[in-house]
Formats: sequence, C-alpha cells, structure tokens
Amino acid sequence: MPPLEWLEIEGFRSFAESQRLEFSEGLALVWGANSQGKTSVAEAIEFLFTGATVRRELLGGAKAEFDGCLRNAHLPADATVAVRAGIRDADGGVHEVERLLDRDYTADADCESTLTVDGVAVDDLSQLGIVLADPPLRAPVLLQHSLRFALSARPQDRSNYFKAVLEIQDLELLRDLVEASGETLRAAPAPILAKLRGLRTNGRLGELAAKIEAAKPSAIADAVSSALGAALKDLGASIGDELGLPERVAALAAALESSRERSFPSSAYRVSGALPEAVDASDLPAAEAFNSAIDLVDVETARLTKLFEAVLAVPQIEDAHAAVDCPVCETPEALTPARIAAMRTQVMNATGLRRAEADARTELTSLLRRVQAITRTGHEIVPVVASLDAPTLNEHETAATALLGEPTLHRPLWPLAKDVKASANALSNAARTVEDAVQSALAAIAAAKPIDTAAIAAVVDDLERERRNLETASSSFSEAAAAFLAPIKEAVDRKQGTDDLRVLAELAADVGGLRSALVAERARAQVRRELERALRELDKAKAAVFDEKFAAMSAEIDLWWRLLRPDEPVRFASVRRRGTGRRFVMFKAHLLGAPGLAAIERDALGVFSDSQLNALGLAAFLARATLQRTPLVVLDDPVQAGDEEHRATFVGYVLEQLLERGVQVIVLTYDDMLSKLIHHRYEAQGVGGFSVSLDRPADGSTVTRTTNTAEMLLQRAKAYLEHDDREFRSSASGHLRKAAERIAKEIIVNARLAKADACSLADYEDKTLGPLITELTPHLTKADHPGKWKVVGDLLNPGSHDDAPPTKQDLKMAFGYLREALREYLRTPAASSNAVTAADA
Amino acid sequence: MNDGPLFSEENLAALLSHLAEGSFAHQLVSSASTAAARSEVETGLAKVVEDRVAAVREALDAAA
Repeated sequence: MPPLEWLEIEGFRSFAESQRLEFSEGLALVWGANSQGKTSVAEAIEFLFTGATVRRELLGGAKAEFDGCLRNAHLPADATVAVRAGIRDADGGVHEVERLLDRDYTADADCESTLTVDGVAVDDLSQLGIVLADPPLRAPVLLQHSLRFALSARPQDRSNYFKAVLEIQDLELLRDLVEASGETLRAAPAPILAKLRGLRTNGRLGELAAKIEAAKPSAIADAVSSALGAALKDLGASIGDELGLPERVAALAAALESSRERSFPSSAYRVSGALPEAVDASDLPAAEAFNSAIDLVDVETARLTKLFEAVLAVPQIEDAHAAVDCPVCETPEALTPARIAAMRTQVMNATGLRRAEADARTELTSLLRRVQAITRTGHEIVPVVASLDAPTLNEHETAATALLGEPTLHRPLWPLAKDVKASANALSNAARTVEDAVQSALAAIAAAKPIDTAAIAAVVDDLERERRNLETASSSFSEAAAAFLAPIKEAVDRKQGTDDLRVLAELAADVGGLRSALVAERARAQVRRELERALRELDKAKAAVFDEKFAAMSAEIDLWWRLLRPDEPVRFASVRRRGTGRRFVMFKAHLLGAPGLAAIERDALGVFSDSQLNALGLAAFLARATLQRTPLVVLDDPVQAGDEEHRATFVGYVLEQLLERGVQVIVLTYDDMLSKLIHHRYEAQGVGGFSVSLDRPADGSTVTRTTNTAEMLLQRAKAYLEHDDREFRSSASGHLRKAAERIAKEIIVNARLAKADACSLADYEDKTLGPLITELTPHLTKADHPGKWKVVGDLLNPGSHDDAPPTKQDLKMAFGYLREALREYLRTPAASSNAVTAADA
Repeated sequence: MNDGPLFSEENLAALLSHLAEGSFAHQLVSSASTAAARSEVETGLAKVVEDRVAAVREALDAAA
C-alpha cells in the first residue's frame, strides 16, 4: 500500500473547496491542462511536508513578490487554508496529518503554519518516516522551478544544492563552527597584559617587560622583582638584593610618591586615618544587672554585711537549730533560726551586688575606652587640605592647573574637605558627651546608686549618627579627591618621566593577576593552534567524505541517466568537487567517440544540450530521492516539452525502476501522450488517475478521479470546452471523439463479456467512431440513447468539419451525451473498467 | 537554516572514520555527534574548547 493514502487540499493556491485524492495504487497520474491547478497539487504536498514553498527561495527576485502566495486570492481572508493527508507509518497504521496555514507569506516575513498528526502538534513528520532533506529542496517533490535549479544556479548555489542533496552541508557547518570557536580565543588581551605591553617602547624597561612576558610561569615573579630592582636603582634608591618582592613593590611605590610629592602635595588630599568603629550601647546587660541587684539590698543593712558574715562564721551559730546567744551583744538566745536565716539572705544579696558592681564597671570602662578612642582619633580621618588656608589652596590650584594644562577638579574639593572636618568635630563632641555619661554611671556605681542606662544609650545613638555623618562626608571627599588626583598623578609621572615606573609598580602590585593573565593567554594561543591543526584535519576528512558521497551520487545519477537516455552518445560521468568543494561542484560528461576510442571528458554544463540538462536535473533529483530512501516522489511534468522522444524511456524504465524499489510515484502532467503511455504501460498494476480542472478561478480547481481511460479522455476534452477559439474547439472535438470511441468500445466489450463472448478492447483497436456506433447501438438499453449516439457521431466525425470545427454548443452537447453514457454504462460495479482491463490483460 | 537535526550521525561517523584517533579534531566531532541541532553543537564545541583551554592552563601551571 502506498505511504500517502489520500490527500485533501483546501483553500491552497488554485484550490478553494476541499478536494480529495485517494491513492490506492503505487503509481498515480494527475493530468491537467496548463493553469488548471496541477502544480498546486505538487506544491500542496511540498507545503504539507515542509510548511513552505521552495518557489520563493529559488525564483530569486524580491521575496515581497510572494506576499500572500499560498492562499487562494479569491477566498475571504478568514477562509481555511489547509492540506491534509492520510500517511501510513512503518507498521501500516494510517495517520491523519494536517498542515494549517496560520499566516501567509508577507512582504518581509515567512509564512506560519501548524502541523498535526492525529490532532497532536508536531514539528515534522519524521515519526511517519517522512525525513526531509537539507534546504533548499527539502521535500521529495520535483517542481518545474526546481528541476533546473541545480544546473542554472550560480556555482556556489549549485554546490550548496548538491551538498544539500548529499546531506553534507552539516559537515561544512561543523567546520565553520569549529573555526568560529577558534575565533573566540582571539579575545582582546587582558588589561593587565595591555599595560605590560605598553612598556615595550621604553628601552630598558621594555627589555625587562619582554623578559617578564617570556618568563615561565614560575619565573614571572622573579622577573618582576628584577625589573623593580632596576627601576629602584634608576630612581636612586639603594636596595639590598635580599629584599623580597612585596618590599620592592612598597619601596617603588614610596619612591614614586616621594618623587611626585615634590611636584604636587598629593598627600594633603589623602585620607590616611581609618573611620572610627561603630559603638552600640542599646544593650548594657551588666549595667542593667547591677540595677536589679541594688534593688534587692537595703543600703543601711548592707553596711552590716561584714558583721553578719563574722557572726555566721561562729561554729555554734552556723550549725544552730535553736536560738543561741548573740556573740556581739551577748543577749541570751537572741539569734533565733529565723534571724540567722535573715542574716544569711542579707549576706547573699550583698555578695551578688558586689559581683554585679564589678561587671557593670568593666562594661562601662570598655565603653569608655572605645569612646575615648573616637575622641582621640576622630580627627585623623580629616585630610590636611581641610586645614589649609586660602592662599595655600590657591597655590595648589595654580600648581594643579599648570600640570594638567586645563581646569581641575580642585576647587570642589574644598567644601567637601571642610564637611569632613566639621563632621569630625561633631563626632568628637558627641564622644565627649558619651564620656561624661559613662563617668556619671561609674560614679553611681561607687555610690551604690542605679545607673541611668537609657541616658547612656541616647548619647551613644547621637555618637553613632555623627559617626555615620563623618563616614558619608569622608566617602564623598575620597571619591572626589581620587578623581582629582588620578590625572595629577599621571601628569606628574609624565613630567618626571616616571609614568612607565608607575605602570610597573601597578603590575608588580598584582603579580598574581599578571601571571594568571599570561598563563591564560598562552593556553588560549596553544588551543588556537590546536584548533587550526584540527581544522586542517577536518578539511582532509571532509574532502574524503565528500568524495565518497559524490562517488555514490555519481553512480546513482548515472543509473537514472542511463534509464532516461539509454542510447545517448553523451554519457554522464560524475559529479565531483573542485578544490575543497566548498564553492564548486562539477558535473563531468563523457563524449563517446567511435567504438574502441576512449571517451572524452568535459564539463557537462558546457556540452549538454537543453534537453540533456533537463534529463540530468531529473536524474539528480531521482538519485537524491533514492539515496535518501524516500518512500514517495512527486514529479511535476518530468518530461519537458520538445523532449517527447524520451517519454517512452521515462515511462518504461524510470517509472518501472522506482516502482520496483517500492517508491510511491505521483506524476503530474499536461502531456496527453505521456499520460496515455503511463496508463497503458501500468494498466495491469493499476494507475490512480486524476484530472484537475479549473472552470472558474473563484470556484477553485476541482479534482476528478478518472478510473478508466474513457473518463480520463472525457475530462481532457472538458478542459477545452470553455474556449471559443477555433484551435481549442478543434482540440476539444478530437478529445471528445477519442473519448466517444473509448466509451463505445468499453460498452461493447463489457456487454459481450457479460454474455461470455470472449473479446477485448484490442479487437476494436482500428475501428473509428462511425462503425463503432453501429456496433454499439444493439447494446444500448435506453430508447433515446441510439439517437444521442448518432448525434455524437455527426458532431464529432472528422470528415464533416475539416474546415470548421464544431461550435462550443455542439461540443458541450456531445460532452453531455457522452458523460451520460459513461455514467449509465461504465460506472456500475458490473461495468467497471476493471472488467475491460482484465479482459485486455 | 532549518530547525531540524543538522548533524547526522551518518555524516559525523564518516568524518570520524577519516580522522586520527585522539586528535583534537576527533574530540570536536565526537562532541558534535551527540548533538542534534546547531545550537547544541555550538554549545558542545564551546564546552570542548573551554575544557581544553582549562586543561592546557592547568598543565602550564603545573609545569611551573
């Protein structure tokens, strides 16, 4: 059973209402005169498989010309445009496939469609064994515009076509991707390496930089250290050989700073102190514990604690279970057990108070120290510039402007510096307030009075607020000072000729980063070289794969060429690459001379005739289809006009070979003779016959199943009936006469076979319409039919209108009578064409 | 370029058969052979190259 079991086309190109084609045979023939919708059938299959029309890719010109090209222009905008099919899978199950056009091509955008299999959206039909080829010709559908594409295209396009045919474009793509991944390794050097290379122009320092760049990773730090040593000597600094890298970095930085300071007092603009640490007094647990302990102890009683401790230490009191004499006042039995217990409680509370007192003092002293540190160091963060007078500041500004040769960012620094100073003062004041509060708390402890922790927390909050203010002011100043100093620093270095030393100092300060960047760059360079080698290997391997594939392709093209042109003195030789095959693919032809002489090889495109090029295009298409083991091919007018002598080889050899390989073939043609040859040659196997006609474009193309030759002939005549032109009428008359002869023969043969009178269509092969009608008349079953057949004979007899073909009305009348006869005598099961076919076979 | 599978197993297998075992090119094709679409191959190749750079870098560091 053929893989494409049925096809439905709705609203697509020349089609309007849904038209259905049932394919029960491996070979189907769709006949249609020009402009009737035949090619739309082929393009519908292409659209079903690919969701596109290759016509837009191949015909060149502006893509805008294909705006709205898939929808029948006569349909309303919301009409359904869809192609549906029943496709058989490998297990024999038939699945309903639908491609629904969601949006047609526009001037600048592709069309969009939805593909479903049994109602489930899918990306492609690979699950049903329909695997598409590479672009541009993805579907196994040979259209007129694609037949010659490979041969008429530019060399690059031709090369791409054959690489697509051979499915080797992906190897080109892989190569390109490998090449592109190598390009990613050509990243711009890391900034630190750009700095290093910037030193190359500095004679002595350049040599040292080159040594650093060439050093092994383990020797990079030493090379940097050596360069630092040389630089320090140049600056007149005396250093010992034993000085390590960090010390050399610090020495060079200090030497440079010292040198710069002579040109501009940058140090006055630096913040050297650290921002005071935050202080938090929201929770003073020891102070709170002290306050709790003091609540438990009566102050007056607390003074007797030591006396109580002495009394309780007397042995007879310590162990007393009854009242005993007081050892202090000697009162008899004054110390009852209850009084002794009360003394013990007093002693215990007093002891707790002493511990709490010590803890609170420690806590407050710690807080005091931190606050005193703020008072002491708060001003260290203030830059020197904040304390300079106006004349000095003006001098600095003049110096900076002279260095840069343009206005500087100096003046905006002044208020920022003053903000820092003011914030530092406010912080100091706040710190002193906290100091006072803490001192008061310590005094309270000494006086055994509660501590006002809330008051301390409040002033510490004020202190923290001032600290944050200072932080903000300092940050603003530092940012502005950095922006001011950076160009000053560079200008000073330039002026002093020490800018390369500054770069060296920066590099040396990050020797780990320098080493890492150098190693990374070397690794990338090595891998890039490896990729270049890999590309050369890939190119060789790719060429070998191309050659293998081209050899297979050549053999397959040659096979189809020989089937199409068995007796041709020109033979297809091979398709092969030129160079890497990236840009050029060549077709070679063999020109056969006299027997015994070697064939002469030439480029096929140069020596093949137009007809031969068509045959080569067809052979290449079939080779691709068979190499891809496609289960179906669609051939739209495979034999060109003017190439009629090769119809027979196409029908007899090419179609036979395809059918033998189990390929379903759908041939679309306007060519009557080709159609006839196919029907005759494959009548025994069965040919699915269809006729496509388009009476009125608004109604769309219609498809008629032509189950037998008679019906097919009648359909062909129909295509000419709407024209009043003499030639069309003459053609219509000829087709109707052939249809009438065929219908008459089939009715006669069926009637005789029904009476067990052995006969076949061949018995009537040479009979013309007049004698056939005479023999037919006895077999006609309706009273008016003999008369109608006589009219048909009168109208269509060639002898009666050699000079004037029948009128359009005459032809339509004859068509109507013949269609009635077909329906009455040949469309019943008993009178099916199979009976005739079986008899003929 | 279409969105379907681009790097057919058959082609890549043929390519591999023509490449020397153990070469970097072999590794690149092996990487592509496990992918189906262009984006996957691009990602795969980038990973192979990145890994190779890391390995060479490590070797250079180790040699130090």
